[in-house]
Amino acid sequence: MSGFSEWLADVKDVCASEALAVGLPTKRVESWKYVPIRGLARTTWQPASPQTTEQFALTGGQFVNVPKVDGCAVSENTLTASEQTRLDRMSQAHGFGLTQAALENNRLVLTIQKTASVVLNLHHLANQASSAGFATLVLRVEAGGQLTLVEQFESTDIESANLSSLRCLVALSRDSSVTHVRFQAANATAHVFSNLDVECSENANYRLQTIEFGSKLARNDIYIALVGREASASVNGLAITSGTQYHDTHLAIDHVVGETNSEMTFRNMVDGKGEATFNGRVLICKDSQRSATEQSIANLLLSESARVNPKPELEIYADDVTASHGCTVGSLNKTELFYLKSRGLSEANARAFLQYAFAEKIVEKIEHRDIRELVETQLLGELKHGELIAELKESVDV
Amino acid sequence: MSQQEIDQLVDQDYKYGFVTDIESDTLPPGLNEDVIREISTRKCEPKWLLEWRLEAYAKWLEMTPPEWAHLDYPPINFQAISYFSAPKKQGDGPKSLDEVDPALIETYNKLGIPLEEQKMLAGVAVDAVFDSVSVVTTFKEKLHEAGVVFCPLSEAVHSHPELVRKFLGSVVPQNDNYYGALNSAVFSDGSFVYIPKGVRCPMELSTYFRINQQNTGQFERTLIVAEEGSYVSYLEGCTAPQRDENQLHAAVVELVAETDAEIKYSTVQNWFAGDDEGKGGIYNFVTKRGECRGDRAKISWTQLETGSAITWKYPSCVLKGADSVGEFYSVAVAGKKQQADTGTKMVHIGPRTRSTIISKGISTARGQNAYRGLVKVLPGAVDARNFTQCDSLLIGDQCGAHTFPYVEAQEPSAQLEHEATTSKVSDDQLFYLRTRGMSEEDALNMVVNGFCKEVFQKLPMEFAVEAEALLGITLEGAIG
Amino acid sequence: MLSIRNLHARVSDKPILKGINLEIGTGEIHAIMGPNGSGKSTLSSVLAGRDDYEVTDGEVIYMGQNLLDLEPEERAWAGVFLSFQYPVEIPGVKNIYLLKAAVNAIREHRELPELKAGDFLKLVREKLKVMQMDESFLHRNVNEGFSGGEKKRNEILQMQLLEPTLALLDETDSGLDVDALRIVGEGINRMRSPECSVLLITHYQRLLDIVKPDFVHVLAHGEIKLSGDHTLAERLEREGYEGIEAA
Repeated sequence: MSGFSEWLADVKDVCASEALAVGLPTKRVESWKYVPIRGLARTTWQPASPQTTEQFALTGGQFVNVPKVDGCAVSENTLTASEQTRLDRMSQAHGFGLTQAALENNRLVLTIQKTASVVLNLHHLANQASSAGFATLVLRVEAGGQLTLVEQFESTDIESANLSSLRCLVALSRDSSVTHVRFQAANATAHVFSNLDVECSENANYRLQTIEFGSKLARNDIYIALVGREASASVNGLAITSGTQYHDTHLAIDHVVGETNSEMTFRNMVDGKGEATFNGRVLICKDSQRSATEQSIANLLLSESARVNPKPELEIYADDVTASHGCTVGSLNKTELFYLKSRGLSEANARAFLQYAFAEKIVEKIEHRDIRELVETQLLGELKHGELIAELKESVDV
Repeated sequence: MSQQEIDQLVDQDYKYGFVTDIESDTLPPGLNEDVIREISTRKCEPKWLLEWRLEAYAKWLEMTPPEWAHLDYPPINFQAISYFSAPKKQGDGPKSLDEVDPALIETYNKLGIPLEEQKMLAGVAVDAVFDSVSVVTTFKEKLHEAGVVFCPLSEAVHSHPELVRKFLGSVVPQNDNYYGALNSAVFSDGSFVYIPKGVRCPMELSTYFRINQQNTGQFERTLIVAEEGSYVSYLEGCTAPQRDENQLHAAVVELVAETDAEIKYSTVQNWFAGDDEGKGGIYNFVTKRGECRGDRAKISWTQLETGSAITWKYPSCVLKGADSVGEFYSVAVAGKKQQADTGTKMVHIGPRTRSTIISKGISTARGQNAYRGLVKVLPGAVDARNFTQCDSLLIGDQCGAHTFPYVEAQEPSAQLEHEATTSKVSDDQLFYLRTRGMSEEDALNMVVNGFCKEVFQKLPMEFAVEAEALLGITLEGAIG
Repeated sequence: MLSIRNLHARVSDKPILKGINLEIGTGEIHAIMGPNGSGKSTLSSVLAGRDDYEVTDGEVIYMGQNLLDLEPEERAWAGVFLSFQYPVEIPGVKNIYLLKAAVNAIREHRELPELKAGDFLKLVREKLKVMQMDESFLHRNVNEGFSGGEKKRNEILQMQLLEPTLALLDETDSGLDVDALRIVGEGINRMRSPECSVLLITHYQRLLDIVKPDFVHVLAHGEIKLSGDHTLAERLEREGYEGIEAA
């Protein structure tokens, strides 16, 4: 396998040799069909080393400054049988999964104790040039526990390719809840890989808000299993893709038992020569009666060369369910543009308004105020002609 | 509704499961170059066609069967299939209906295929394909007057070689896909339709296909060319007898619509679905594709798929001409242990091209029904539009309904909209109808018919009646 | 101030306006009435610059310049305001952002200084009060989830803030209950001034009971068939369009 060959060859374990044998996924692998992996394969990747920081961070494949918070304990590094199975499933998904497993630098296991309420802020620091970091985070949320996990990517001026990969397992015990905010604004040369595997027990609720602006290439594999009655999950996602960026989210939700609910709303806004892929699959297993799922995907194409590949899938094996999905692709709405222009807004400002509105429908759902404002500010920075709205926000928001 | 009730109701005998007892001339099972040469020789084909077949065969050998479909079946042994079967001819073939083997006529009558004169009153010309060879073609005269060519493809190879050579494989190339390549190598017969410039075909053209011979794959190939400003509506019905073994059917249909031409292609597919345990039934792997080559051309596919153990079929439209239109209207029913993976591909190339996809999937018993569709908009397809709606209905809790809509958009001015829902037949609706005095079964029928209405409306009138009746038979007892 | 001469327009090859002639003087209120499909909404859309409509003949001179040459936003800067029959919802954009952006865009072109946040809020609160709207309207998304009446009031609120010299009000009375009709009508009356002309497009007379027009025109089949003073509206109400057309 080019790209990681030398490194993998040094690691003497089964996973590494399997990864070498299988190689990076090609376009023939259905779920990697659109991923431009050439850059990934061409770079000779090396292990990254951690940067110095005072924050709780993931840097060079290492977790540093793990916070000591009430209700949150650092557990031993041994995985339960079920966790191991889930991790193995992740690894076996494709050649890159095996690579991630083989090159893992660091693993952190955190337990959110019964009925505790914990907020964790994890900072992703960019790796150095041509360096790649692989880590795994395991979160166990005990019964009634509440966790807010905020992941932020620091943008730095690194000019050559770098890579960071985080595999994250989240187990929600009964009655627990997790709000997970992921704000990816990594530097323009970053390759960001995120694998997320979530399991929700009875009456547990998992909410994910994922906002993606940055990186050269980002690939998110998200898997959520609703394994207990009345478990629920909601995913709100936004990807803003421009230049020659590629953003890819593969999201799968399994309704393993009945009376479970899921909801996904995802928006892609693509400009320049950017390309965005979204694959959302919902599976309702046999006997998972009285389950409900709703998917909505909206895609905005802003330039001649922008590309988008949305695919909302439903796989349903139970009859007493309500399932629906909707997907749209288009450019800015002409009537809306006309309305704004008839009120005196210039073409450029009217376009910025509508782009902002498109993104804001996802961003406004972030409850965490500081993060929401941070995202909004950066969002306006991303937009051409976002200044007017930035000014308006500042002057009239109360 | 209990499972037992459902089983009881779904339990429905295949009404067309009889075997016609006539002698036939069948090649022994197996596939190699010699078999292809033999097929070509028996059909007295020109050399170029034999070479074309051999080329396809060479390509097929390099290919592997597709695995991406939501289907589960054991690998097919292509060497266990016979690739040619024709009813033995008496003399030089029948000159009128009287000369046709009475057993054949009897078969058609059982199928309710009206081959006689009243059919002309109904405006239908029938090109009946029995196993691999066309037996009788009626009303050629009337079509001839209009300048329409409607004949078996094997005949067209001789009567209109330049047309066949020009268009064969021009929409579905030899190596398009695994089953298409197989068909290109061994295709037996099928229909050829040519509508000259400016002609509106005076009647609906109709063909019934029927697989009869045991262990016989049927590989028909149909080619329809509509020249500038012409119109044709083509109807295709399929039924096969009941066998314990699985039979393979790998057909190819190619449509070419030039400027301002319109082709309407309707299918009612009721091949044998296998029994309740999934034993027997047709494996139906079909490649259907139409190209709108000229501006404002229109191709419309309408299908009712109730049969086959396995259906793998994606009637597609390649919209090259500016303002050209593609449509796909489908009702697919999967009951028993049937598996269907069907849908369409709409490829938008020309500016202002429009496509509509309406797909209704019904799953009962242990059926698995998947919609798979691709809407692809290439750069330059300015202001292209697509609307897709795929709805699934589940009857019983042992079945499955799946939706896999692919979208690839590369043109910013395109506007695409996709909607899908999956639900069961609403108890409220059934209850409401029953309080109005309907039996449970009639109520279900009515609800399901309503669910399919949009699609049935697109079928030619007499076909629509047949479709509703067929749906009724398929559901008979499916409930509840 | 506005003169429409021999205006012809069509929508996707279908001719709708077939030679409209209309002169509107400064400070006048004109009402255009007509049955459904007569071309009323096409007229207002053409004047505001919606590009689904193709002008095939004629001209529209507004304060010395050809209005049809201007982009929609340039018309707004020049003082033309269109109140939409179906105001557009823009989820994700707060009403107040649109209001402030619009006010300052137009002020800029009138060479007036930008309104500071405080002054703007003061102004907007005053207008809200007139329209009997709650301040929470400002922080809701543009027209999203508004009732029919709320949307129309929001249109008139915008008009008051933008202080147009020509207001085109397209079916502003449709979908309003009696109270809302009165509020909207009074809102329009407040705009009455020697500087502002109004073109009211309506199907019914009821709005004209509150806003008394100087002139009434009957539009049918894409042409102005009849013009008169406000009594013409009353006659229409009594006799119906058919009666008038027959006469």
